[in-house]
Amino acid sequence: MSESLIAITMPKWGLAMKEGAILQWLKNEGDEVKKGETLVEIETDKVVNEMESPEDGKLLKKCIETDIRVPVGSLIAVYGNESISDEEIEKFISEFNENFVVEDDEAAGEANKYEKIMLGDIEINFSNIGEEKEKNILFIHGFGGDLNNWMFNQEELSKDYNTFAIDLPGHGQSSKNVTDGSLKNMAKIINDFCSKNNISKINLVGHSYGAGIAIQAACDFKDLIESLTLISPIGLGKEIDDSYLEDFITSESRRDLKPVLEKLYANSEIITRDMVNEVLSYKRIDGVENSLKIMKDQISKSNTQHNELKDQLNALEIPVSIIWGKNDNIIPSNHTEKLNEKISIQIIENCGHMAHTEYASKVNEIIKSTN
Amino acid sequence: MSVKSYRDAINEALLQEMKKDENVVVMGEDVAGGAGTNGEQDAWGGVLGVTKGLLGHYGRERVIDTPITETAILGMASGAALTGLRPVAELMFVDFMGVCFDQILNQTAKFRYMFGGKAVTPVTIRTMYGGGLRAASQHSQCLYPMFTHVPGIKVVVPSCAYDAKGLLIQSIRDDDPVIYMEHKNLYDVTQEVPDESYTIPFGEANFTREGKDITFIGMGQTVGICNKVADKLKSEGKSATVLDLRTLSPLDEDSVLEAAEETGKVVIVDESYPRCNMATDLSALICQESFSSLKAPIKMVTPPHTPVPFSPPLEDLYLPSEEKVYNAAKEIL
Repeated sequence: MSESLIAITMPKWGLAMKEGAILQWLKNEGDEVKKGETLVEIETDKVVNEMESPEDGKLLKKCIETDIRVPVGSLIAVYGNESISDEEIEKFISEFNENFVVEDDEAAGEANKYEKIMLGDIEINFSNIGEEKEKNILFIHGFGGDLNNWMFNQEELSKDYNTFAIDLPGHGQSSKNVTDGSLKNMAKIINDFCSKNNISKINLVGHSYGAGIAIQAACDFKDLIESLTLISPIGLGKEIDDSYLEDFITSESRRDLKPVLEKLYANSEIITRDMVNEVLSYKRIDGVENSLKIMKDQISKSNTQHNELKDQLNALEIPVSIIWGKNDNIIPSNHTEKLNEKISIQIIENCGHMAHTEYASKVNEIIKSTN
Repeated sequence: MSVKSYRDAINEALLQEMKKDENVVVMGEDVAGGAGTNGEQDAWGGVLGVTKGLLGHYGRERVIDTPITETAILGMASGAALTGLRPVAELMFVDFMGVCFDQILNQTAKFRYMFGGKAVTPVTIRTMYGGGLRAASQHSQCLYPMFTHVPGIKVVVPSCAYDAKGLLIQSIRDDDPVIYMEHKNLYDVTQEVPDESYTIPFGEANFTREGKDITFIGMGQTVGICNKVADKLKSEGKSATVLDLRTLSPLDEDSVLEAAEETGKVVIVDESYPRCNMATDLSALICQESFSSLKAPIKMVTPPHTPVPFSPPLEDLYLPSEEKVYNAAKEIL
């Protein structure tokens, strides 16, 4: 097999993804492709998103047609960096396909499943990928989100880190019995989660409300937290679009919820009916509405945030990166003013409140450079 | 979240609602089985085992085996609902509605109206419907249009395990009479279903496929047929929208029109008799409200206007099938 050929495979975005289809090729055979450039547009059961090229190379051959669903890990393209005969490419493809085994849930076993642990009377659902790696990362989603928000980040970072993503109480598949939504309490849950998993050092990546929890955790548990990557965090300024939180809680139909979710992204076309349905299904579980109200009360009132974490953040001695979409409609990116100059700040153009999904590879690079 | 069958999803909804609210009681023929005998208790759990296990949790007081009289079951359930209970009554086969229709049509459906809104009747009537089990013409009918015709009753037709659980919990919590219809062929279909209790509001149809070229509208069992045909068309380069009505009364008219307008070509798949059924009703709605968006005549795939045949080859020929839906689609694509 030629050493100079590179297999490009169907990515795995989130634990639930089993198949994907290519909607559109954004490069042609013969094109030189740089790592990070968009290569194809891929559709899964849940999302449509652009896949970025994982390597530099020349796109020698596209291996599947558009609109055909193939299992995760299937060969979708072959790169090479020199002129290689068609025969060699064909041989490479047939060898790959002969050896390719569709990932079987049962066979993949525990490594591929959500796990649950009890912290007091709260059950926490989480996923853990990359167990054999040394450095730990924990992803904390925002208000109304869940661990699947990190589908473009966790899998990718698990190549270098032991990654954990949790569903906060009241979210995803964790218990829906939130009685205290304060950052202090949530930070304690993060600490308990780490103790229970025998983690002594961890890097936190938090989004929005989850980023506020991360800051609080870094202040309260200094020995545990090694670094912070904060995406559109709460707690660094007064302003917040309260109506987003209110409407997220009260919207009961697709029609009402869709415009609310559209506020999250710079490009609102990304919101599909499936995404809206998924959020609605979550909101319709007993206990969710009440839990969300309790957490909302800890975040803001009348477009004013309750938490002021700037001074505490400035006083921290660990590496901190902040990532903010320039077009964030929920919390304005100018909250990065007056921060300690040791803190690295990245403002991303044409990006909304969800930088980790809107500009996933950029965010992944920043997370790596923070640790 | 775990994989559950439609049957298990219904069972879990009943268990959870009985736990949450002691006013929820289940009644019907052999819903447990063995009442008043020395023989095995909970031998049946309903004729297809859907209510099995409830007896062990909640006892004879709340899981009530009734005599074989649908009139009495429905009368008892409606009366109990008026006094404040939330009964879930089982009408084993919807075909048996003939003997208890007065209870539904003139009593249960009318209480709220006749008592000036001061009485509520939170009764859920679970019933099996549909063909395919070789059960002949008195045990295979698809009779939901007879209920959608009556104001005052809500009509629910879940197509999958997730909807089965959420819609049943919603039915039990609803203050009006609900006919909750389970297609016999769906009991073993499986899906990821949350372990927690959750609801799906009535009058919210669900898009199960999104496409540009043609729209299928299905309900209950026919949704699965529509999905399969949509997937087949996709492999041929045509994309289809599939709308699952979920509830027939109330009807999500907005989604029906939205789905029709998206493609301008509509195939409605309905297992009920073709005169005055859901297909004709939806077709009229679309023609009245979205006529200018149509690019082809609306196609209706329904059985012929005959009783459901007992002969297996004839029954297969009678029911809407993937082949019939595919052919109907091809005529207008």
